[in-house]
Amino acid sequence: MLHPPLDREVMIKKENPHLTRKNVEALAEWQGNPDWMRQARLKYFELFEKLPMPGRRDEEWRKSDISQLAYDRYVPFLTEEQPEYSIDSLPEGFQVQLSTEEQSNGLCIAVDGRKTYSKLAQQLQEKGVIWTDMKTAVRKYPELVQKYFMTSVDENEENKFTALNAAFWNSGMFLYIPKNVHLDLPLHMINFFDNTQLLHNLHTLIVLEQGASAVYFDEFASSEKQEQAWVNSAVEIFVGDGARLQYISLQNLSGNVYNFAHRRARIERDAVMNWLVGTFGSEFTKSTISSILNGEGAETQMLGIAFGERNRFIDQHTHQIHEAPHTRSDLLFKNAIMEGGRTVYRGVIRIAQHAQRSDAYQANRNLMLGDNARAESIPALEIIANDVRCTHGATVGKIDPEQLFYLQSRGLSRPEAVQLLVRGFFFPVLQHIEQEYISERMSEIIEERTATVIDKI
Amino acid sequence: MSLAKKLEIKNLHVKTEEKEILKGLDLTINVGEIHAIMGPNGSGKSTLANTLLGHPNYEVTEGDILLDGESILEMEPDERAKRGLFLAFQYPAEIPGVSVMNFLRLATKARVNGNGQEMSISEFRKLLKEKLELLQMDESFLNRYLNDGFSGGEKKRMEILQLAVLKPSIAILDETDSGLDIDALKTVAAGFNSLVGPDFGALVITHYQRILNYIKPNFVHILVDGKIAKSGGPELALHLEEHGYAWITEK
Ligand SMILES: Nc1ncnc2c1ncn2[C@@H]1O[C@H](COP(=O)(O)OP(=O)(O)OP(=O)(O)O)[C@@H](O)[C@H]1O
Ligand SMILES: [Mg+2]
Repeated sequence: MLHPPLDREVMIKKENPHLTRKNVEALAEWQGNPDWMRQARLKYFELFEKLPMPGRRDEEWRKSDISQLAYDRYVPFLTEEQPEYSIDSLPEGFQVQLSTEEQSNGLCIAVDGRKTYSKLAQQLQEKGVIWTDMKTAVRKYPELVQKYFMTSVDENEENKFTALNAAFWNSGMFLYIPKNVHLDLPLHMINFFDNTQLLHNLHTLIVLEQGASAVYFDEFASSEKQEQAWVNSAVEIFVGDGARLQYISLQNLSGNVYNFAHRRARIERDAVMNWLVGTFGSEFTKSTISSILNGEGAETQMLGIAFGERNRFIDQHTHQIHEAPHTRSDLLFKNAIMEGGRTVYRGVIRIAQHAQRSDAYQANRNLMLGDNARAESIPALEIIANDVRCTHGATVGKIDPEQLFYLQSRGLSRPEAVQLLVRGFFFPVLQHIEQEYISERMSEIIEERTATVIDKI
Repeated sequence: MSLAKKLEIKNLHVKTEEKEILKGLDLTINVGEIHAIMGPNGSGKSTLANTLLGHPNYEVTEGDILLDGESILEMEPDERAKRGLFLAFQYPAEIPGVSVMNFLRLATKARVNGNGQEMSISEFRKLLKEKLELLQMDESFLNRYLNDGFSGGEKKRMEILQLAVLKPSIAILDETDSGLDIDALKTVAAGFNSLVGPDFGALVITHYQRILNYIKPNFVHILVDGKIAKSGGPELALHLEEHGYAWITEK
C-alpha cells in the first residue's frame, strides 16, 4: 500500500463534539468563575480553534504519533453527580502515603480533580501561604490568579493542547508563598485519575514571592483500566527574585493513559528553580518542561529520570531559555528503556543576545535494557550571545557485562544485579532529593517497575 | 546450604574468542589449604579465575569444575558464590551510583539467604567497622560509589574487605598484591590471614614471591601455556624468583 503524502498530514482527523464555545461557557458557569476568567477561557478557546492539530511534519511532534488518542470521546466536565471518593477507596500505596503526612507541610489528594483530602500546616496559613484548588482560588483570590494565569510564556508560544488546557481547565492547584516565607517541609500533592471519559485538564499555578522557598511534590497515578484515559496537565511556576523552588514530580500512571504535560517556570533575578521529574508510567507521555531564566543571576537545575517499558512511548522536551545575563542552566535527563520501549528526548538551549556570560549544560543518558529498545536524542541549540559557555551531550549504553559479572560473583542474582545497576544509573538524579520519604517512594516505584520486566533482560 | 569444602578442577579446557587458553588444567583445593599459582603474563591465570566463577566470555570446552563433587559448570556466578566461591578481581569493575554500604548489605543478604540468620543493621555495621579497621580503611569508603574513582591500591583493599565480610570457603585472589606498596601489602595480607583456618581455602595468583612472605602457601603451582607445568612447596616460588620461567619451558 502506498503511504499517503506526509506533508501537514494531521494526526487526529476527528472532531471532538464536546469542545465547543458553549461548553466553555457552561464550564465557567458551573465553576462559578468570575467574568475575567470566563473571558480568558474564551480567548484561549479561540486560540485552540485557530491552531491546527499537530501534523507529522511539525518539529515538536515529528516523533510522537498521537493518532491513537481517542480524541473525540473525551468530555471537558462531568454533568452527572459523581460518587464521593474517600481516601479508603484509593489503592494501597496511597494509604501508606498518609503516614508520611507529618513529613510534609501540607498534603492534598484529588481524585478526578476533586479534593478528597487536604491539609496545610496552620502556621503557614498564618504566614499567608495559600494552597487550594484552582476553582476556589479563582473565586477567593482573583487578583492573584489573574496576575499570573497563562502569563508564563508569550501567547504565540502556546500550542493546541496548552490552549485546550487554558480554555477547559477543570482542576489543578494554586500555591502562593508570600515574600521571605520558607517552607521547611514539602507540599505533597497526589493526583489520582479514575474516570476515563473526563479530559483531565489540570492547571496548576505556583507563585513564590521574593525570597520565598519551598519544595513541591506532585504525584500522578491512576486506576488500572482497559479503556484509554487522557491527562492534559499544565503547570505554571513563577519564582520571584531570590526565591527558591524545587518541583519534584512522580508520574506513575497506568498503561491506559495518554499523558500530556506542559510545565514551565519563569525565574527572576538570583532565583533558583530545580526540577526533578520522574516518568515511570502511562502508555504515552508527551512532556515539555521549560525554564525561562528571566532575571540576571537566575539558575535552574533540570533533572529527569524515565523508565520506558515495553510498548510504551515517552517523549520529553526541555527548554533552557536564557533571557538574562549571568544565568545558569544545568540539565541531566536519564532514561532506562526496556525491550520494546521507546523514548525521545529533545533539548532546546536558547541563549538570547543580551544573556551574556551565561552557562548552559545539557546531558541526556540512555540505558538500553533490551535489544529492541529505542532511544532518540535531539539537541537543538539556538545561541545568539557570544560570550557564553554551552555544552551538551547524549549517550546510549547498555548494562556493562563486567559490572554484571562482578555483582553476580558476589552472590547477587542476575535480576538483583540488574536492578542495582538501574538504581545506580538513576542515583545521580535521585540524590538530589533531600526528603527520604520522597526518594524512597521513587526508588520503590523504580524497583516495582524493574521487577516486573527484569528477567527479560 | 553449607559452603563447599573442596574445589576440583579436572582437565579444564577453556576458550575465548575462538582461542584456546586453558589446555587441560588439573588442580584440587581443599579448605584448610592455601595454593599459590604463578605464571608468565598471558599464561591463563585470570582466565582460570574468571572461569571458576562462570564469566560468560569463557567457554569450557572440555573437563569439569566441581564443588564437593558436584559440577558447577551450569551454575550462574551467583550460585557459585552462594556455594562459597569468591574472586578478588585483578581489575575490579567500577559501579557508579551504588554505594559500598548498600552493595555490601545486599551481598551479605544474598550470602545469608538459605545459610542461616540475617544480620540486623547494627550487627552489620559493627562487622563492617571491624573489617574496615582490619584493612585500615576509612569509614568514609562506605558512602562512596563502589570502586568508582578508587586508586589501584584502594580497589585491592576493597576486594579484601569484601572477602573479609562475605567469608567464603574458597577464595581466588587474582594478583591482589600487584600495585600495592609494602605497607598496603602487609595490611591486605593481614586481612587475608584473618580468614586462614581449617574452613578456608584459597588460590592466590601472583607474580611476586614477596607476597608469599606474608601469605604462607602450602602448595605452589606454575602455570605455563594453559597447563600446570610444575607443582611443589613454597621453595618453588623462591626458585622462580631467582631463575624465572625459562628453566621450566626448556625441560
Ligand atoms: N576476553 C578475552 N578475549 C580475547 N582474549 C582473551 C580474553 N581473555 C583473555 N584473553 C587472552 O588469553 C590469554 C590469557 O589471558 P589471562 O588474562 O588469563 O592471562 P594472565 O595469566 O592472567 O596474565 P597476566 O599475568 O598478564 O594477568 C591472553 O593471551 C589474553 O590476551
Ligand atoms: Mg591476569
